[in-house]
Parts: sequence; C-alpha cells; structure tokens
Amino acid sequence: MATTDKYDRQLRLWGASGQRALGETLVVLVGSSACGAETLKNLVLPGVGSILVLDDDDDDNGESSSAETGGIDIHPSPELSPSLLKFSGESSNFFLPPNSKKIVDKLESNNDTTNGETPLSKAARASALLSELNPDVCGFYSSVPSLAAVDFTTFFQTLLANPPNNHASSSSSTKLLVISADQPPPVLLPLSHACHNLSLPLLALHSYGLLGTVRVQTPPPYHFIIESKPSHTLPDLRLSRWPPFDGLNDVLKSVGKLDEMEDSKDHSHVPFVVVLLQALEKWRGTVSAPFNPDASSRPRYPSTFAAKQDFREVVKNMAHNLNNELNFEEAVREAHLVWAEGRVSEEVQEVLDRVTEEEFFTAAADDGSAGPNVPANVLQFQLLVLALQRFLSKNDNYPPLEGTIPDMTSDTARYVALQEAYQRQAEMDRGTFTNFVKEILQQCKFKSNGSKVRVAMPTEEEIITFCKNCRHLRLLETRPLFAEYNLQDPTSPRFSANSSSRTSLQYPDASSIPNFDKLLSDAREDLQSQTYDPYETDPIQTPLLWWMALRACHAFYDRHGEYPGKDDRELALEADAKEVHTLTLEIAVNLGLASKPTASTGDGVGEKDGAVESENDFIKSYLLDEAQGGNLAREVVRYNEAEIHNIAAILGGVASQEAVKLITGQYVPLDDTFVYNGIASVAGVYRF
Amino acid sequence: NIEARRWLNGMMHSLVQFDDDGDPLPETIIPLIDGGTEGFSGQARLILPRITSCFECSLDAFAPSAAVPLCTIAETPRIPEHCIAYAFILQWPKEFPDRKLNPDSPEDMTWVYRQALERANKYNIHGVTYMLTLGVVKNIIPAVASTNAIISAMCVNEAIKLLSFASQSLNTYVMYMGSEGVHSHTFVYDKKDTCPVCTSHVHTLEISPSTTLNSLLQMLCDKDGRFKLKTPSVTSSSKTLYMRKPQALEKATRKNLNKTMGELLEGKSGEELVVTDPVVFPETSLGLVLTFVE
Repeated sequence: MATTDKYDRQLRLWGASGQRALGETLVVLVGSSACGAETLKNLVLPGVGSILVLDDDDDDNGESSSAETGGIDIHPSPELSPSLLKFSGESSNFFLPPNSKKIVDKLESNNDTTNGETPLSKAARASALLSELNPDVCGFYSSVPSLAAVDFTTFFQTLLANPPNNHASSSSSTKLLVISADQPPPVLLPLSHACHNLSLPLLALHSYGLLGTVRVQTPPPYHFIIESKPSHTLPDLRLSRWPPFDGLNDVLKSVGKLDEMEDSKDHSHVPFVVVLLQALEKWRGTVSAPFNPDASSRPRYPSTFAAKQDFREVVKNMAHNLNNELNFEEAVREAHLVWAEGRVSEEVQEVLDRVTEEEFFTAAADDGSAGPNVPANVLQFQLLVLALQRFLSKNDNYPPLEGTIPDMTSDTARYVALQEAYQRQAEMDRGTFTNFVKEILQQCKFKSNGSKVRVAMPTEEEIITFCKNCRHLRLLETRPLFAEYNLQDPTSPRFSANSSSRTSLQYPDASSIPNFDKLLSDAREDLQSQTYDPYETDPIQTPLLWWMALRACHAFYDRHGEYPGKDDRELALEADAKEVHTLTLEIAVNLGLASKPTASTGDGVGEKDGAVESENDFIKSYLLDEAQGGNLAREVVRYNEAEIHNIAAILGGVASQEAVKLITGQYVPLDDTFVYNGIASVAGVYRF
Repeated sequence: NIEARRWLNGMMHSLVQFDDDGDPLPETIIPLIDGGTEGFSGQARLILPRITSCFECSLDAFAPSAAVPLCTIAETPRIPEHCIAYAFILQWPKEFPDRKLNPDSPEDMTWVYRQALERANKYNIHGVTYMLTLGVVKNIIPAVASTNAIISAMCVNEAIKLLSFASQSLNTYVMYMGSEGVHSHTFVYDKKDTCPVCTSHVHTLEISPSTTLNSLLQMLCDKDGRFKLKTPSVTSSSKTLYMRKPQALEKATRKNLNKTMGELLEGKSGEELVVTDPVVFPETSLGLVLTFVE
C-alpha cells in the first residue's frame, strides 16, 4: 500500500481536525440491539476515541450493578474468548453472540473445562466484539438490572467528570455523544431529558421490521457549524466590490492593456479576473446614460438584464479568437461574478442575529451554579461570531476575504501573483478580525467583575478556519424529543398526572424551552407542505405515513406495555391493527394534518367526537381511508418490532454519519427525523 | 468500475431466453443489484434484465472525466495538481521507459512526490504533499464507513426481499446524498430508447464516404461519444470488415482499417453494419446504419 494511514480515505473528507475531534469523543450506546451496534461499528472503524455500551442484564448472570455502591459500574470490554465467537440462529444481531452462559453449560456437559468462565452480560459481549474492530478505540460497558430505572443525568455527569478513557490526555477534552437503540418510551424520554439538560447530542434510532427512524436531538442552545462545506460555492473574488483591494489593484496595474497586447500567447493567458475588470472599464465607457459619481462613490456596475448582456458582449469582443482563448471563455462564463453580491448570505445573517454581546457577556461569566449554562464550546463560537459582527460593521458589511482563488487559464507568473495578492489581503483581514476578538475578550473580562470567564482566546488555527468558512456558517436547533412526544399524543397515560405508575413521568412544560413555539410552528408548516410532495411512483409508500404508523405503535406501547402484534392469532392481529389505525388518526389530528370535530350526540345530552376528517387529499386518500390506512396498520402490526439486520445497518449508517457531523462540527446534520421505508426503498426527512 | 459493470450487465441480459411469442422467460431472468458510493453520497438500483432499464441505459449520466490539458501541465502549471500530473504523466515515462508506474508502491509514489515538489518550487507553487500526490495519481475518491454501510445494506435489503418474497422490490433506482442534511430520491429509471443492450434499436450514423474504417472505430470508442465502446468489431451484410479475434482474422482484416468506408461498402449508403464488443457487452450486437453525406 502506498500509504499506511488507514484513515487516509476519510481524512480527505474531514481532515486532521475532524479526526482529532473523533478521537476525543466517548460514544455511549444505550441498548445493544443491531441498529445500535451498527452505528457503533461505523464509528469504531473510523477511530472514535472510546465507546461505552449500556444495557440491561439477561435474566440471571450475576453482572448486575451493586445496589450498595448506588452507582453504575463501568468496566473495560472483556477480552475475546472462544465462547464469544460462537453464533447460533437465535440472534439476528451479528454483534451480539448468544448468551455465553448457555455455551458454558453446554461445554460443561461435554466435560470440557472452561476454567469457570463467568457468564457475560449483553453489554459486555457487544462491547467486546465492537472494540475488536479497531485497536485504536477503547471499549467499555455497563450492565444494569433495568434501563428505565437508570438516573441518566448522574451517569453522564460521572462520565464527564471521570471519563474511563485512559488515552485521553486531559479529562476536560472528552466529549460525549449518546445513541439510543430501539428503546421504548419509558427509557427514551428520561434519556432525552438528561441529554437536553446536560447539553449532550442524542441520536435515537428505532428499527421496526422493514421500517426505521433516526432522530437527531441537538444539544441546547444549538449545534453550530463553522465548516459546513456546501457542495457548491462561489469563489470569493470580490470583483463587485469597489474599490478593489490594494493587492488586486497592484496586479491589475502590472498587467498591460489587453487591447495593446500583440503576442497572442500572452493575450490568451491573462487570467479572467483581469479580463473582467478591464472589460468593466470598457463597458463603463460605452454606457451613455448620465452618471455623475464623485471620486469616492461606487461607479457603475451592470445591474439590468440588458446591461449584463452588453457587458458579456464587451468581453467577447475583447477576444482575438473566442474559440481558441480559454481565458476569454472563462471570463464570459464567470462574468456574473462582476455583479454577484459578495456580502453575507441570508443564512449567515440568521446566525449573526442569534448572538448578542449582552447575552454573551452574561453567559461567559455564568458558572452554572444556578442551573444549566451555555456550554463552553458554544461560547467560543459566539465570541468568533461577535468579532465577525464588528468586522462587518467596519468593512461595509463584507466578511474577511477567504483568500484562495480557483484555478484559471493563465501563465504561471500572473496566476501566482494574483494568488499571493488574495492570500495577503486575507491575512490582513484575519489580523483585523483577531484584534476584534481580543477587544471583545477584554470587555468580557472587564464586565465579569472578577469572576472567572469561561471563554479563552482562540488558537490561530481556529481563527483561520473561521475566517475561511465564515460565508457558510450554519446553525441547527431541534426540539428535544421529550418536549414533542406528548404533543403528538396528549392522552397517553405516560403523561397523565393521575397515573400512579412509576413509569409515568412529569416533564417541564415545553413552553420552558426558548424558541419552542417558533420551532413547532415551522415544523408543522413544513409537514403540511411535504404532504404535497409524496412518493410519486406509489404514494402509499411515502415515509411520512409510515412514521405515523410507527408513532401509533409507540402510543400502543404506552397503553399496553408492549408493541402490537405479539399475539399472532388472526383475530388478535386484526384487533391490534384496528387500534393502531385509530391511534394513527389521532396522531394525524395532533400533528395538524386532520381534525376531529366534536358533534352533538343529538339527544341533547352532550357532545361526542365525530369521525376524523381532513382537507388534505393525501392524508384523506392514504391515511383516513380504511383500506389504505388499514394496510399501514396491518403491516406494522405483523412486524411486532422485529429487527432485521440489514434495515438496522441502513439506520446505523445514517446515524453514524450524523454522529460524525455532530462530533466534528463539519457538514450539516439532518433536521430532525430520518424515516426509512425498506418496502419500497424510499426515505424522507421530516420534523414532527 | 464502469467497464466491469457494463460487462456484467451485458452478460446478464444475454442469458435471458424468450418464448415463442417473444416474451422473456421469467425463470431465465436473473436480478442484478448494483450499488456505488462516493464520499457522503451513493446510489443503489435493481435491474431485471429485459424488464427494467439496464446499466447501459444510464451510461450518459456519468460525468466525463475532467482531464487537465497537456499544455497546462507542460508549460503553465499553476496549482500543485499540475506539478504532480507533470511528474507522473511526463517525467516518469522519460525516466523509467520500460516500467509502468505502480501507484501502490511507496517508493514509486515517493519519487513522483519529490519530482512534483521540485517543479512546484521552481514555479513558486505551494501545496504539494504526499497525500495530494496519492490523490491525484490514484484518482482517490474519499470514502467513509457510514455511506458504504447504508448503500450495501440497501442492496442486501433488495436481495433479501427478492429471495424471500417478504415484500416488494425497489422500483428501480435510489439516490442518497448525505453531506448537507440527508436527501434521498427513489424513482423509476426509464429505459433509454436507443440502448444497445436492452433494446433492439438500430442506430444511424452520417459520415463522409472518405472516412476510414479506423476513424469510424475511433468514433465508436470516443469516451464522450454515443457508444463509448472499447474493442469493437464490425461486419457488413456481405463481409467482415474488421474482427479483433481470432488472431488470424485480425491479421486478415487489418488492412481494411486504412480503407475508406466508401470503398469498403462500394459506395452504397444505408448499409446496416453489425458491431460487437465482447469487452463492453458480451453476446450482444449493435445495429448501425451508415448514411453517406459530404
């Protein structure tokens, strides 16, 4: 192999800084089913720092946590042993060999001495096989009697304070990411709550027959992305800015007038940047309408459709032979750069509007003693954003120059000169930007009145990365899972104040989450518009419908303590399907896609709920309709929450990819629920 | 790679047999599931030979390779990639005329890297690294475990459903893009009416009668052209024009390469030629009607 770096192929996607972030992360997997194991496998292979599998025990294997210590014991993954490498037809999870205790019994009966091998819990077995995939990764596991009884907040706080990873150079650099695999509501909701409170990112997966979902929950206040790496960007050439920066002006002056160049090789190797700027001068000379700028104000630029056409003609006419002069071809193609904006986009403006100096100074001095505070990495981001705000206000709303230029037909010397001019200006802008950062940090320390400030001066590398990518900043803010769960199904016993069951929990009102109402109304609006864009080939396969059927299964679980379809006798299945269908309709009403008018019962006694109806054709035809909607219910009932490994693998692939985005802070994560329909192989992303 | 897929596609199609009414016999249709990935994106498709569209139908969708013009590499390098291209395209054959560059050999690649660096320094170009050198020479496509897991699992899903009759099949193509959010698009990839593999469409081509057979073959092999063949052989209704195998026949027909088509077809416009290419689509032939124009 030409390179011994096993991470070579992925480094080309996220670079050394991304790889470093991966190496500093501890991923906690709650549950050891196939989709969780698949997600972890796709994180272990690319070199995540460490993993911890948390699951409940098999019936009786003596691995339960000690009630005496009150805590949850964390153990390093066990060594691989022969008993772990035996597979049977029982399990559909490639990463979970059958209970090794049974293997021990079998071997004992054959008079094999097994050295009294201790039986291992599910979590232990899963973590052993996963850790084997990459020696760079540290594996751990914890086994508890019941996941629903776990105090996740304390567990995660312990992990953050004392990470088990013995490779970490300092405990403060370990970050946590949590994955939930096939957990029912009694576990998932407290987990979502704990992650939200501790500002930990959570990915909740559920594999269900030929269907599956992945839900992204971003840590509050939001997940910020500096390196969003969009696939299509305009180069930052600043051709529309007046006046051109000094370095660019110098290069322009050093190149003679194109019209006076006799040597055709020379003429055809003038970079298009110069061609366009010279063409601009020419074009201004041809425009006849009166225009009286003073020396300092912005001269004319092509702004109307006709003017832009005229400008392109000017460029074409400057060529000696358009077919043979690639640089002129490029100039015509890139002519729009002369009038392209160059200031910050709407999306970046949204990010800028989210950060204020007031809030920042307060948050930076907040030590968290009064409740959850803004995480330190978010403060660092806000510091850079505030510096950008100041830079913009002093720079006519133009951000720091990116500094690189695309390749273009040119002789070497002029290209290199142009390149250096842009690089030098970018460096100067970065210097100015850095001074603003220092200014704000000073003010911050001053306003904190002596209390410790939780934000520090960024490194040079961080400033360079920020400046280079500031034209593509993005934010992602999802609603936490627990906050929307009861909105989808308010009559669920899980949130009933009267319920004495210990699995019903009270959660803070959704209204306590800032921004919740706006996020909710945006999500509902989007959902409506998505009903007008179903899967064309076969609309019943639209993932939106299947999510609703799955949500009905969780609602069924809330009411009965198990998923529908357990009793596979025909009449039982039919009854379950009917109930699931009814629940699906309720959910449609709660999502605003249908309505349930109350009608008077006609005997003057009172009102009763009428049949669910909808103005939305798609919902009417495929959900409300007894045959079609009933089919959805019957299909999910026949699954009975079975897990098929290849569906689990698809979900694991998507979840691990989102995990990498959340860990590295590069690329944009999905917002916020991925739904996979393996029947027709159709996927969709929604917010519910 | 694309060639292997084309060959497999052609082979699967040739295995299908037909009944007396000309309909394909279902038991001879072998489903072909194809998947590919690149960085955060990928696609999977199901091909049922003679029923759905085939791989050859979608050949045009592959972007033509963007090669750097030789004059840039030789005379006006500007970016590190140009210097690397110079080292492995121009310098290597000069320095090692009898040995092909082995991109998996660290010694060979280090040589290329050092030469590229030297050239870059001469032109004041920055950015040549060993990693970039590998990327340019091997045309490395970035890859991650997650995308490969997704696409391979989608392919397996289709296979399981076909084998077990547990559910319906993918109809027929799914695209997946995961770098910015997640976008997925499932649709029916329509048959191309003029597909040489899965249709019996007869193609027409207008050429000057002074075009040589060799030029015609080059047209058929053009990477950006209609047919994108590799090793075509051509026969007319009355004689063999050029046959690559067996060797004896190749020697016998080689002289035809320099003859003009006008001469070979005795001036008759509208002749139908039969073109075969066992490397690209085995057992299949392409009908080509030549019309002479000036």
